[in-house]
Amino acid sequence: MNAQYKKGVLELCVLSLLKKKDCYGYEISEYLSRHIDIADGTVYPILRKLKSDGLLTTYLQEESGGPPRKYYSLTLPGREIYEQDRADYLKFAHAIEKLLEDDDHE
Amino acid sequence: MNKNEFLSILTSVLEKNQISDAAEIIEEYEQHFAFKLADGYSEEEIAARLGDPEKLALQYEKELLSVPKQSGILTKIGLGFADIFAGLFFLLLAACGVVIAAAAIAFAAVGVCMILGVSPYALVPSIPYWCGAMIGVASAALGVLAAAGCIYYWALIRQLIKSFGRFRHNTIAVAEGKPVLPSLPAHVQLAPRTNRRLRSMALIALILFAVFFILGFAASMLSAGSVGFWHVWGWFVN
Repeated sequence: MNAQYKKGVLELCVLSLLKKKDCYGYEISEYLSRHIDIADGTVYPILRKLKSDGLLTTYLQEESGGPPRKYYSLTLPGREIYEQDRADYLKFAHAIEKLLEDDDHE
Repeated sequence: MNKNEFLSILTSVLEKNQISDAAEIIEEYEQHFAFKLADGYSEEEIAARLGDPEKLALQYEKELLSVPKQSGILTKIGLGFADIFAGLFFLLLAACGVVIAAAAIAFAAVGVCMILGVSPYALVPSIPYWCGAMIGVASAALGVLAAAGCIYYWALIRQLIKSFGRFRHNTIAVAEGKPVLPSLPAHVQLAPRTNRRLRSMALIALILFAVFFILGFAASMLSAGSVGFWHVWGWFVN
């Protein structure tokens, strides 16, 4: 699949996960590579981009027996932009699906 | 490729591209290695699954550090003027809303008085009870109609204020180079269920009003034996 296209969709997936709960980088990487066929490292540049766009913030949290983990959390703009992008994406995906299925029956 | 090779390629490309806080980026990958090693993977396996370090490093875009944080003071002054006009406009809209609400309460009160056949302070003119009751139902229905309109109207004002607030926020955000939120629509946002209920309430009230007003009017004419029954019953004269 087109790398640029995939990246946009991955951003949406990251936001969707973070809407449910705050996560640390490795957690997000594991979650995505469990569901989608991507290289494990792909998620880290995405996280940084989302952070520099102001959609995410980070904070450090101490873990028992280990270095503090960097948690990612959705900001208010991030939440709103996610909701909008999600609706847009679902509408788009639905339209494409219909289009391709129609093609199947001709 | 082992961990050190992976990280050194990553570091060299990041530094070559002048990516700020490369150390923080490297830290994430080091943690990734630490988690995976704890799960029993070898360094080579982990590096292979992470992907090509050079390609990964190229995914990091240079942050636009050159954009200075502007205070947006001119924008804020401009918005201050816009606020005055918008504030007056909203005040005017709100005043109309109060008038509609008062009308709704007045119609409902008159209706209830006429249905119960009471005339506090002799405010309701004399009328045979059954004619009055029918006009009373019509008046109460008009009160409900006005109340439905009032709810819708207040929802509209609320949405307009929210929409204006978002516009202000985004205008300042643009001036200060902060992230912009999606703009809000300037029409009424009601839950579909509330919308349906409000609409059927208004429709029923309108039908009740029309039917009972005509019935009450006709009954009054018949009862008074004159088209201008209000003359017969001596209304509007002191």
